[in-house]
Amino acid sequence: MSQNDTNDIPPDPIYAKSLSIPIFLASMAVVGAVALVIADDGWLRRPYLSTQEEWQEKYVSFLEDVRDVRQDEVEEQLKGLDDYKDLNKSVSSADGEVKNAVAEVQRAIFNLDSELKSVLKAITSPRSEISALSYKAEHAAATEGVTVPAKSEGAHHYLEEIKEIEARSVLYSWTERAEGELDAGSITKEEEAEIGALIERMLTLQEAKAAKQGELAVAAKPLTDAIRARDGWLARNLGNLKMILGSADDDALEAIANKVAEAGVAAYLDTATTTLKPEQIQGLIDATEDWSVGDLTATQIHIPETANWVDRCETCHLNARAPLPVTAADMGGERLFASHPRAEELFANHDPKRFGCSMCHGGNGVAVTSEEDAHGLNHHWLQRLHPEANFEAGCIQCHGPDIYLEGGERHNQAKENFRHFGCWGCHKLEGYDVEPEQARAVAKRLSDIDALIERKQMRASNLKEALGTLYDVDEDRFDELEPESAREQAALAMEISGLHTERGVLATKVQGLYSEEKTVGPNLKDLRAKIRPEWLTQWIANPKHWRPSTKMPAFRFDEAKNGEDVKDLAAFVWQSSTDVMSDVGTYGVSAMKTGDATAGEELFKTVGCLACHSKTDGELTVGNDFAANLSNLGDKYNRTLGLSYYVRWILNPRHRLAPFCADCDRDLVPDDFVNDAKDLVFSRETKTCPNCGFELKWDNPTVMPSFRLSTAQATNIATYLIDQKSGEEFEAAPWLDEDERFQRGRRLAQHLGCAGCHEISGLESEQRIGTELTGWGSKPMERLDFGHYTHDAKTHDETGGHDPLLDWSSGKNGDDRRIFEEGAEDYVGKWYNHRGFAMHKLAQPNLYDASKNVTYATALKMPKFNLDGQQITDLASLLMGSTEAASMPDSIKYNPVGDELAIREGWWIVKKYNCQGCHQVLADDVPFIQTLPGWQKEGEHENDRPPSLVGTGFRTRPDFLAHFLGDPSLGGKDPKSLRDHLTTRMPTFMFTENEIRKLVRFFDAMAKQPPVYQPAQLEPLTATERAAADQIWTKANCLQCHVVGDLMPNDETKAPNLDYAAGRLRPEWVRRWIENPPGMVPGTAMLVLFKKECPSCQKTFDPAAMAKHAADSKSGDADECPDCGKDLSAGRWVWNDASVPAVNAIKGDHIDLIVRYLNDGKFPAPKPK
Amino acid sequence: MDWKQLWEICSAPDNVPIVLLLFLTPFYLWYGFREAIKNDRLITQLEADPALAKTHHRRHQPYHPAWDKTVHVWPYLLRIELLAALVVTAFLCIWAIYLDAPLEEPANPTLTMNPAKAPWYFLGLQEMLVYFDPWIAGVILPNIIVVGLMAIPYMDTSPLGNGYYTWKQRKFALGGFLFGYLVLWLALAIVGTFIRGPGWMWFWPGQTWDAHRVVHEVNIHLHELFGITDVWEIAIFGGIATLGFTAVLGGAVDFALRKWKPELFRKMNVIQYAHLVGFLIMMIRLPVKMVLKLGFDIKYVWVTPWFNV
Repeated sequence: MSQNDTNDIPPDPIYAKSLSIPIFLASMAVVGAVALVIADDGWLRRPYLSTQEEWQEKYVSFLEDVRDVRQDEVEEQLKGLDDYKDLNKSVSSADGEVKNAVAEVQRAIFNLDSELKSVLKAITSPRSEISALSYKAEHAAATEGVTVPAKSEGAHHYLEEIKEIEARSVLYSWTERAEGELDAGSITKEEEAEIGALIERMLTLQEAKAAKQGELAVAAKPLTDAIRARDGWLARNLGNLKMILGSADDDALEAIANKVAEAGVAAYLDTATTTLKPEQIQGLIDATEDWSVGDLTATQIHIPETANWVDRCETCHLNARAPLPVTAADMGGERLFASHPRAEELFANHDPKRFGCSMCHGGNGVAVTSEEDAHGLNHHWLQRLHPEANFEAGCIQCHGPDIYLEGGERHNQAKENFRHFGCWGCHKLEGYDVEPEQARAVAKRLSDIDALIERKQMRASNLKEALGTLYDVDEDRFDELEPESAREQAALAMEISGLHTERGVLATKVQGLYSEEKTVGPNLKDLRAKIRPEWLTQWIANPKHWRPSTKMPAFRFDEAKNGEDVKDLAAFVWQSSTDVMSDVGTYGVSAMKTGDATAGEELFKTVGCLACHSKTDGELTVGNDFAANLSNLGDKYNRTLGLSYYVRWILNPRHRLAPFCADCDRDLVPDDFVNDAKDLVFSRETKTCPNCGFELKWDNPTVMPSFRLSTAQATNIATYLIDQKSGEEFEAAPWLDEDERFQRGRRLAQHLGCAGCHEISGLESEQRIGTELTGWGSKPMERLDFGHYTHDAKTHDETGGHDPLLDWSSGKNGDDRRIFEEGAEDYVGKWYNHRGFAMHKLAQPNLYDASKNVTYATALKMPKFNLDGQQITDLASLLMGSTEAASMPDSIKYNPVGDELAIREGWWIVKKYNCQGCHQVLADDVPFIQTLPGWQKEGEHENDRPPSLVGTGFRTRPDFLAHFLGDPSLGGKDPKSLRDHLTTRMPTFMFTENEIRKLVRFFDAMAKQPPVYQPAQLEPLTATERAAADQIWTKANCLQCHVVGDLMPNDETKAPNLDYAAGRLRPEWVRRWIENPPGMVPGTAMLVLFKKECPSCQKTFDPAAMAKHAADSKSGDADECPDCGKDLSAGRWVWNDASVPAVNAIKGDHIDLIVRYLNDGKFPAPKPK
Repeated sequence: MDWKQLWEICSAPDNVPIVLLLFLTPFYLWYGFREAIKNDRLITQLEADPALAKTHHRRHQPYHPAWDKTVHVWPYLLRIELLAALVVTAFLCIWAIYLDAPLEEPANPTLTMNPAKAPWYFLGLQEMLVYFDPWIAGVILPNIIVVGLMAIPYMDTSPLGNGYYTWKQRKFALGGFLFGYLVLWLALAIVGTFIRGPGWMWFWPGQTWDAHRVVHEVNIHLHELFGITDVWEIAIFGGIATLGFTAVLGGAVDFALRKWKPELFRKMNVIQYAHLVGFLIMMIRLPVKMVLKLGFDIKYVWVTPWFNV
């Protein structure tokens, strides 16, 4: 830089200017940025670190609470219990017993020990010296190569020294205890001895002391045993609060409960995890304290077999699988740290190690960077976390084809709503209403087969004809072709016969499917027989007006038409219905006289109608909403034929007025049967169409059964029903017969999808008009049309987008607002999601047409169902959970086989026919009929209650059950069926064989019975045995309650007909039943007739005595003889009445005798009562 | 005015660069021109004073006889570049931390996102699809852009402006480039980012992007204005219109160059000159087509069974 030498030239700024400071600052900025990178990766993006620390602290403190309560409070309480006091007493008495002996041994040990210590003290130093010298001697000997030190020269010297030491004499002293009491004083002793002798003495003392210690253990054994028993009891019970409470008397129990409640861990008292022992709790505390915060692998569930599913939910929900239940209150109100509230019940079948968390709950199981990410609330994530009110959506993903899940209350309600309101009439959803499609497929195959048979027959006859012609013209050629042709004809005959067989099978199948098909609403073909014309139009216009409780929804009609379109629709359904007046006799309806309404009312209320139907009298509605409310039928029934129609309906609801032929696609009329060459008649016996030969549909699509009433009874009920009127007047409806309305009304019926719920003549093959809902939950959001609410739904609660249903706060939509406020915590905010769409749509089905410039034809058609908030929420769960099959890995789907499949299929039938209206199917069911007024209390209508079906599969033989379900009157002999004493009666449901098979398998599977039943082969009765059994039969007076043979039932006969016992009941069950009837059905009227005999002491005990003994005894063993304590199980059962010699002579088991007797079924002729 | 909508567009992490460009481009334009004008004044001064021109070589630190005319790259240039690199590194680190990659849901072949937008730097190309056949907008024009940029040093051999800002000496070159960059590239990208919403419809800034919006768009082809219906006549008519327009435009460009930039024609050989005119024609045709489309609803000028222009 020589240029800068001279001072008057300024330095060149390019060289002179320094960039050090900017570069330094920029470098610092880079360093800072790198530090930020590290912090971001290490902490800022791991919000769970602080969560885990918080959990650690709270969980440890909670566990310590639990532990301390166990160890201090509860221990104190335990010590107050009698059991503990007893044990403690035996400790003190044992202490007293062994005290002296132990003290003596202890004194001897003390003395020996005292001397031993003194000796040791005296010889310690000399022994060490001797050891050192010994080493030197050994070393010297080894150096010289001499094997014995005594022979070594070098060692000699040392050995001498050792001998000198050993010969040294020392004085030692010790203290001994005097004999007698412990504090009897002490004696000081002093001895002198040579070191060598003392070493010997030490060994002797040690042996003596060990011997004495052995003696001590023996002497103290009674005491140590007693202490061990007491402390063991304490430790065991400390770990099991339940056990303590079980064995505590009331006061102690209350005291413990109070103490524990004060300590804030009341949850422990009623949970299964009270079995955790204090040391296990300590283990949990240690593990929690040692928890390595931030270790993601520790809280990750990885399921390699399920598409490498990964869930890290437990990174924050650290107690989800806690071994003891933890509530939010336990963790300082932090719900995040509560354990899964239904862990015990759900994890048994859904092990989180196999299912993870997000598979059921939704959300993004992998994300841990924020709550929003982890819960999948980012709008790009496809599986949002299901809100709390819709948890069941998770169940439905895999349990779509189930209609009932044990414990899944909301799930069941969701499925039930979809069935009940007939959503499936317009929308297809997996599992619902599968029969029509199957029927269509089978019908198609039937037509194909018919065509095929015709073709083959044609070919056969052509062949024959051709050969005949050939024979006439060219005999040689005929001879040549004849064999081949004969073969072909034979083959054709075979094929045709095979096709006929297949046709037969399919025809049966299609008949079954026709019978299983149901619709939600009534068959509108019956309108002209049933309904008064004046009533119809106003009903269609607004069904809720006349019947607020109807499930028929309110349709929206074209306002521009000013009611004319409703009239069109009414005219169409009216004119399309069967013209019963044309041929009154044939259709089985005609004018008839009324019956006795009072008798009808009595029958209506007792025979079982109210298990499905309801009826309103004034303000009070009684009955089930499974089927229609039957109030005020007087307003609507047809004045000429209505009564007759209802009677016909009650007698056999499944009989159509006229059969439907799917091939002709219309109802047949009597004229179709005129001039029929096959002599078919217009009757149910005719299974095929006289026109085309196709299978006829004779079954009404209703689940209503026949109660096997007499015509008079049915007339009485019908009279009672049509007697009730609201007094409302309806205007005359001349438009119903206007021809020009027919086509317009038909188009409207098609437009609104009336045929989804009703059978309407001419619209039988209409398809569903709604969107298919299977897989709806996986629909991309973009496919859900929020209309002009899209923007509001996306931005609600942020920048002024709003929720239209929240705005309708007053007036007619007040109820809608409630729906969206209750349970809104998961919902308020944006509603641009599947749940928001479904809930809004269900509450206000045409909401998304708002602000749209639509015509009536293009407007949304879904009618309004007036659902309440819970129903809407449940249905939303169902829709959210109806995801694409592909969205769930196959390995976790519920694909039941065997018993589980039978249960799944059976539930559909149980729900379809409302079996639970009358029967208990699950142990915790309350059948609807028992909730009716006057039925609820124990003892009311005691003898009218239909039997519980819990355990039916074990009780009843499957062959009988099938027979019974098919025909509960068992051959028509007895219209009241098996239980003559009940006024309610099992109606005939006209199940198909398929349904019966499924029901029988369902009950077998519910009772865990194998699919194939092998009846046990019972020994036939000998003459002696029969005589004895006859004695029991007569003396026990079975016929007081049971019915047998032709004996007419009376007020006293309240039990099943024993004539059926043999074929109906499984002997295994009969045996168990007779042993202990109240044990099986508490409160049953069946008497205990037999006692168990102890094989050892020959005493007899009735089941109640045995049960009481088992409950009282500590072992809890039901097979322990209450008297002698020996094993009862090998004993036989004997009859209560020991006074009959013929019975006493039977040495075998008397119940066995009776079981065989009943199975034999030959009872002595009953005396007429 | 839907401020939320506007904020959503501006704050989308993938739109940050184009938002930055909205501010940086005017700034650097202003800065460059400010410097250029100062230099231009100096140039005028030096041209008027040949003596000063011999010695004067720096505008900021005017001539000093003891100062070097040239300086070394290391360290005097590289240290400035190091400083810039450090600043950019720190800036990018912070950007990367606070703006995550804008991941969306898994691609669904049955469901196209709406609007489906290319990355911001391709939005100019995507916008061109509105005006041209895909094979022109997507294949030919991008190739011409790349080739044209590569060809610039071979057509423009003038050393003027190397190492200093100037407008006066390079009006034509800078004007041409700025037209290409600002109008044909950046403006199109801005339109694609801020203006085009669902359905690639035109939404003014602040207008809500409503996926349900429906607009009535008229699209006519030029030949329809003349009532031509036969497919061959249409092809021939379109060919004449397109090629004729190109020829006329070429003549006009040639005329203008000879009139206002005669030295170019003198200095360039025939290949250089032909390419220059060709590229200029392409650059002018694009906005002409845009005006036809946006102003007169004319979709295609030349319709043939194989391609449309």
